Amino acid sequence: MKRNLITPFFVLTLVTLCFMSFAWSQAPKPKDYPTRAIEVVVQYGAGGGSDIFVRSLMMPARSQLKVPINVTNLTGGAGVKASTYVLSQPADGYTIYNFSPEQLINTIFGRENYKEFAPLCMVQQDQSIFYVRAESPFKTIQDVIKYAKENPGKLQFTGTTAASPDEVIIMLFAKKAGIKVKYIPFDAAPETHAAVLGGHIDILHEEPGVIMSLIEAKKLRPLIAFTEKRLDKFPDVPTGRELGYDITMGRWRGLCVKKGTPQEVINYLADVFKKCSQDPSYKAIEKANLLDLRPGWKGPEEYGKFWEEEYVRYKEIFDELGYLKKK
Amino acid sequence: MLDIWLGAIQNIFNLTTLLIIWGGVLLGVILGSVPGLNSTMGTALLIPFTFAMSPVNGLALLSAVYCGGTYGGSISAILFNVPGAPEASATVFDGYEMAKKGKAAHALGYAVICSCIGGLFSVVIMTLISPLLAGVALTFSQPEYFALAITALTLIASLGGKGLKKAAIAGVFGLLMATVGIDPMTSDPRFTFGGKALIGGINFIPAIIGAFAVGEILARSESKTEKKEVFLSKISTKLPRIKEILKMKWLVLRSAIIGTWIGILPGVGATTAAFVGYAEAVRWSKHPEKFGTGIPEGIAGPETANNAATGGAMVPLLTLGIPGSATTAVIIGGFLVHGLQPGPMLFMNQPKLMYSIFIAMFLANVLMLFAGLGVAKLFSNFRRIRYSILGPCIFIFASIGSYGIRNDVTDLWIMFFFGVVGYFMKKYNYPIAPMIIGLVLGNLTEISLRRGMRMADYNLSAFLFRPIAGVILLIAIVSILYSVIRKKPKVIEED
Repeated sequence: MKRNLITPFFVLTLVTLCFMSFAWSQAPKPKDYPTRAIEVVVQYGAGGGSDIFVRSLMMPARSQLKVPINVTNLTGGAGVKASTYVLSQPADGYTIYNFSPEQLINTIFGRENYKEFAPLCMVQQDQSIFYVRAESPFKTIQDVIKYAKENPGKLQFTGTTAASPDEVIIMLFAKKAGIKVKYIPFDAAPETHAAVLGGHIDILHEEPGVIMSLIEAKKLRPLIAFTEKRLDKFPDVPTGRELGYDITMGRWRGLCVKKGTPQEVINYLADVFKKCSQDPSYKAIEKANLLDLRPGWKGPEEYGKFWEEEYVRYKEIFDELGYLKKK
Repeated sequence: MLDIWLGAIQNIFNLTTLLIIWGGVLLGVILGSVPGLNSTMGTALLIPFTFAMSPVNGLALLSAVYCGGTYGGSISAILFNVPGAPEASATVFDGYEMAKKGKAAHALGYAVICSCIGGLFSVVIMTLISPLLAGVALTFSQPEYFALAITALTLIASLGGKGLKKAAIAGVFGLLMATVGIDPMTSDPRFTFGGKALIGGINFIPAIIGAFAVGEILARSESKTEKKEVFLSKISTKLPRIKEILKMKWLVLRSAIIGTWIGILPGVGATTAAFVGYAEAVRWSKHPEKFGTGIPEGIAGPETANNAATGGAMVPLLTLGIPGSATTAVIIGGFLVHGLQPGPMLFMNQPKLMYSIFIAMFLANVLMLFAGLGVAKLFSNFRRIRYSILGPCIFIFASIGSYGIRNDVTDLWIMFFFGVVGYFMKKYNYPIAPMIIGLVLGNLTEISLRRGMRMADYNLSAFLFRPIAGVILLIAIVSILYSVIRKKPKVIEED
């Protein structure tokens, strides 16, 4: 008879607990999740922008989720390796993936399919800016365009890796400005900084956070920012929009899981990461990297819509640039 | 200036910081010596912990792990033929051969002393003329990188030993393997056979582990009777005498300079430094044919250079905020958690912190000597096990090391593949080192050539008429010609 008494008691406690968690957060904590360590897969190397983003967001997440969170760097093949790994894991919310624009680009090139992932949340949106080195003869972006028109195909731009978001924005700008330029990709961002500082390449595409010190030391000069409005940090730098090149782009960073993961897990995780993105320890890192200048947060649904929009946008650009014809 | 130095000394010479540096070095050596773990991973994992420390302590810890980890890889390279970290890849060539001869203790001794000398040299250079060097490094463009890589590749010719033809075949095979994966300039997949497994390219660590360690295990398991190996009942590190070190003072100095310089260059790090250090040790040696048979010079060359690259890689990081290697890229995170952005402004605004890092790295390199002795002793106990038992253990060790480097099962298959390749190369007397050199330097050679050509509108003269690139290329050409002309039949020691 004893057992009969315990069961309702247990159920009652459980129900109360459930209600209590309702009261604490909008998304209820799913039953039995998480009970073991969660793995977060990053497709880029340790210490890069995406890696720092994930690791700094996971710091507060550990105390929220109360399970260990392991960050794994699985590099290579423009993220295809990492994507393949994530998709080989069960869709149970224990494998979270740092979804980046490369996954959309890979889909365009037929290397993977972004639709196999379910969006969790977007956390940051970075700003794309063009820079020249201090000694450069170019004072404004108009100087650059003038030079490029006089010397078609001579002007050199650099960014990270080929067929990347960096190349897309550079080529889009060139097209809108009616100029012909050369794009010289490097494998890692620091190499691009060195090439421009050394005067080997004319113009650098970069997000300002990583090179703030070089900007403050006046070794690099920003010329144009592809943001909605001028950045408070650089009030003298015109936006593309002002000059008639309607480009607003910038690398975004967010998370996803494998498609088929229970919706309650997705909602719960999105909720947890939203709180984490407000955590002082994360905020401090965001501020230090100038990542708080643009609203970045998007929930699962919004983020999913954003993927579709970005996919269409990239596909159009690659089509226009002739990347897909040769395939 | 003096007060900055005094402040920096005060920052470092207190019990907590000294203990942190010691702990960091020890941890680094252990991480380095275990295949599959390395200092890049170690520093990335430690960054969250440095959040709770003061900036000086946190950065001292990270740089200590970095120094220790770069040396640590040589321990397993020498004892087990498995480089514990990418930086120790070139140490396998002579280190393991020396251990096979029963001179493991000597080999470990040379590795730790040369690492220490290389590290100290680069820290002193970095302290004295950091900003100047960083400026010079920026003048290096793609032609110079290409010249550097191609010069090291010409070592394949000098390494030939018995057959230039066989060495060339092995070298070209290595270069070919380096082209697998996504094309760095156009982003097209190459040699992936339509699958996803090879899209990330062939990582050279599993390939080295396969060709050397697995190949050796396969070859040895063939012989029925166990080959008698010289085992000392007690192996500990035997430090070389000062006289022995003085005998190769030019080699060590050359490697230290090469290592520091390659460390400073963005995009290339300690691994490239080790290979170039080895290449130059062979090039200027009076008996290049002995390399690969287990001689101390073959350890001193790469080990001095790779540790010299640690100080070198800090130069552009601290002066420009541009990391000179993969691990220094991670160390940026250690600055960021304290709201500091490494670069010219930090160098101007916080000189005391900068000099504290210099002192911490100097100390780390000295302490590495002791940490190295301790960890090497621990590991060398394994060498007392019979090969029929040790061999399979090394195999497990090798598998973990190959998988751990980037958590990819494909890397295990690559290791098996190169194990079989290495076995047949041994059997048919093809030297393995040229293949590895081709594989490691292939990427740098290709990308710097193609990038440089695109920048110069496909005009080859851009490569030849740049003063530095031209001179380095000239050295390469002369050394190829020299080694071809000199290749007269000579009595060569059998291995």
